[in-house]
Amino acid sequence: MSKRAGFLLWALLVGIIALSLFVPWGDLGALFATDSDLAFAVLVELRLPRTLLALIYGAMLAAAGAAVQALFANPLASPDLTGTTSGAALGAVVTAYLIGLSSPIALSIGAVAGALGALLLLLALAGPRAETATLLLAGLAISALAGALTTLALALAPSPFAFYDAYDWLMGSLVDRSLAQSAFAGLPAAAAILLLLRLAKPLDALALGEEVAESMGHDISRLRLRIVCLTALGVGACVAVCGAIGFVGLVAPIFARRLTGGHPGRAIWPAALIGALLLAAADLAVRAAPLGRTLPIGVVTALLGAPFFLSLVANMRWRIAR
Amino acid sequence: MIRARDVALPGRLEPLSLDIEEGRLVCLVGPNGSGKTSLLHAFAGIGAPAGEVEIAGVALRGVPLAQRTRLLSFLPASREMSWPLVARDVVALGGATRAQAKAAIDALELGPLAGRRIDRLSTGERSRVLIARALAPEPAVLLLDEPTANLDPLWQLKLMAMLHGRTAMVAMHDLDAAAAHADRLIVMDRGRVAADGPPNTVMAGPVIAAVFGIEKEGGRWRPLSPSAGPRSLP
Amino acid sequence: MRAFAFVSAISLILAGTSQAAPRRVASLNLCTDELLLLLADPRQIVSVTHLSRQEAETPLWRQARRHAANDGSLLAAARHRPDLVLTMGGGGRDRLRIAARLGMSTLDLPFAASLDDVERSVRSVAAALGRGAAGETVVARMRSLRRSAPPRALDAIWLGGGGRTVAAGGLEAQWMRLAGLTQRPMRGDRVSLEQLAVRPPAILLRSDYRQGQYSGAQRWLRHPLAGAAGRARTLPTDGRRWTCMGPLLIDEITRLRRELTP
Repeated sequence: MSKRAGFLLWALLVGIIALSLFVPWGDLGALFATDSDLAFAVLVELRLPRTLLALIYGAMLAAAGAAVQALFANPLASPDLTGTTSGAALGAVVTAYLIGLSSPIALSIGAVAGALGALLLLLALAGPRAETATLLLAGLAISALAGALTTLALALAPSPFAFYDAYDWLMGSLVDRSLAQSAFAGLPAAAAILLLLRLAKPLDALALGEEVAESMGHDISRLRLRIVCLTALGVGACVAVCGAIGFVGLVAPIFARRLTGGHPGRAIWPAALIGALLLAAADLAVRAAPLGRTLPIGVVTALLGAPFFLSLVANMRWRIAR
Repeated sequence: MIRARDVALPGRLEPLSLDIEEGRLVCLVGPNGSGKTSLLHAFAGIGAPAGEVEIAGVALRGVPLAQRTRLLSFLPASREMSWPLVARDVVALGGATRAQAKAAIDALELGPLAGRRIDRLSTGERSRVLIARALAPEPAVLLLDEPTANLDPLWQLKLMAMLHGRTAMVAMHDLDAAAAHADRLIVMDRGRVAADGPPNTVMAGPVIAAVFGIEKEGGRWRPLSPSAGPRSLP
Repeated sequence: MRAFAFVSAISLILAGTSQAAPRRVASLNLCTDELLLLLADPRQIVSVTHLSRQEAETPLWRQARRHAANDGSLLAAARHRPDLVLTMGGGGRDRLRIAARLGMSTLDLPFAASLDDVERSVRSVAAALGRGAAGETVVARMRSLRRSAPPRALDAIWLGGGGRTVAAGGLEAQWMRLAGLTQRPMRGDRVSLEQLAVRPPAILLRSDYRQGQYSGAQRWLRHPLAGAAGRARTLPTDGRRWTCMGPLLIDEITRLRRELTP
């Protein structure tokens, strides 16, 4: 990544954090004049967690997306397309609504278990280095199944209110989360991102093919296991608090590889920055939406990401047809 | 230089022990599926092989990654890459220093191609890039799977000349080229070493006809008569 | 218009047999369950919905458990051979026609949008049950509550799980006004934690509906700032009574009034 691109990314990130924290300012500014303690509490207890969650969840999705794409040697792999986020949402929903364990830690464990299950199922169905079509089909099947089971679990939940939560679980939401919740999502995600960054080198070597990477001394099955576990941990923890959000994990790594000359491993770091930027920007769009209702953030990321995904597919078809 | 003891890959390569002296170019020949690639894999530590391999007195198992790239390089038969990297970056991926990578690019005359994406090169050009990648870290041992495939005749000659004097194991299909360039020729058959020795001796013996089912007549290879067929060795 | 709809609904019922009070009445909706349980002689009731048997859904759950449960479908009610079926919000003309063909009279109540609607619903159910007097007692209590509405009202926000609130012009707000509360208009009938903290109302009327069960909405209510940082007076209210906004709110409004009188 060039210095200029890096500087630009950081500058954008700072700008979006400022916007996310301080816009709109009117009522809050007035409160600072009368009751600065409370105004500060609003800033720290409401706006800060939302900003932090957008940044860390976006970074997590993108870092996991970059690692999974490098692992499968496929630019169309990502936590949402492979069913990881849907699996995590299912795990959290079953834990909270059916088993009745709703403490944050239980939710996280449920979501991580769900994500892990989805990833292992994907490996079993599609194989370690799957063709694009196989990978997408297996991922599609897993996310469709997990989505349907999530809706079913919510419909069967004792509280009829639970059904209204389906929206949040399937499309994601960052609204009104507490500082504690953002810590529950953010700390595991931050740890997972840092550990994923350490896999940049073997993943770059993997670009030369599995045989070469192995001949260079990289243990591929261990690498695969690490990526699966770290992705499940980080994405699971975020989904437990914010629900499943799509497309960031697909799009961010693709931009990131443009900055790293196509290196899939060292793209994890810029991907994380871009992912944080994308999700924070999507959240700003949600808040600015003039509809008087809260728009699910997953709808915004899908609206931005889906055309991109489609162009990617069309481009691949064109390359194959050539 | 290479010391291998009871090296094996279950189902693909029977246990074998080999010693190869420094600076020897060893060519591996054998029919399709005879175990050439498996032998290279086993020596390169691919696919969890059994047994012990030492290079320059260092056991490969458990050697730190940085040291390992100084010990061996492996070139797979596939010339495909999943990611559209630029040729220069591909050469650098093998763990070479900047100067080493530059030298390898010059040696394989890749200068004009260095800035181009690997998926936009011809197969032969891509082969040269990947060979440069394998040569760049200047490892003690080269393990190359069909490096001459896809190369034009001039580049086949240039490459074999380049390998001369280095410790290398090279799998290839062209028997004549193998015999012409190798210091030592190993014939593989069904996961075992069928013959091993100086090229002249091996080529003159009965093994070639037995393993490949071909014979040389008037300077040209032709199939053995159908009744003779490829036979197994006694 | 609304009155006309009522008349037509009632006239539709009397396709049935006798002019005498019906002796086997089934209800297919939680809100008609409540009216039935409130107004009928228990011996008249053959079936109510499974919802009204749950403590979390209605304060009348004990009475409801004395009767057979149905899942809200005509089919489930038909098993009990009712001579009158209570429904709400239609379910289509076909349902009424099928019921008639099965020899069941139907009383279909529209969704109430005003306090007058509520009184009309009470009266029409009471009339259909042949329990006019019981209906008049309930209506009289409502009338007295409406006559004695406090002249001035406090700024208030009705608060359900997940920041759900109610429309300022809706029936909930009309009931709240009887307790001396004015629902503040909120965009999209939702309130954010930040709005609560920055511009708290005088009274936060907080529903306890399904409080013990996990949902995203309940999680929201547990946020440290969901109490408007202590700057609003929080009054808990029995969330079950707000589901149908029917006569069960009479007692709740009376209680809230007492709480609000200094």
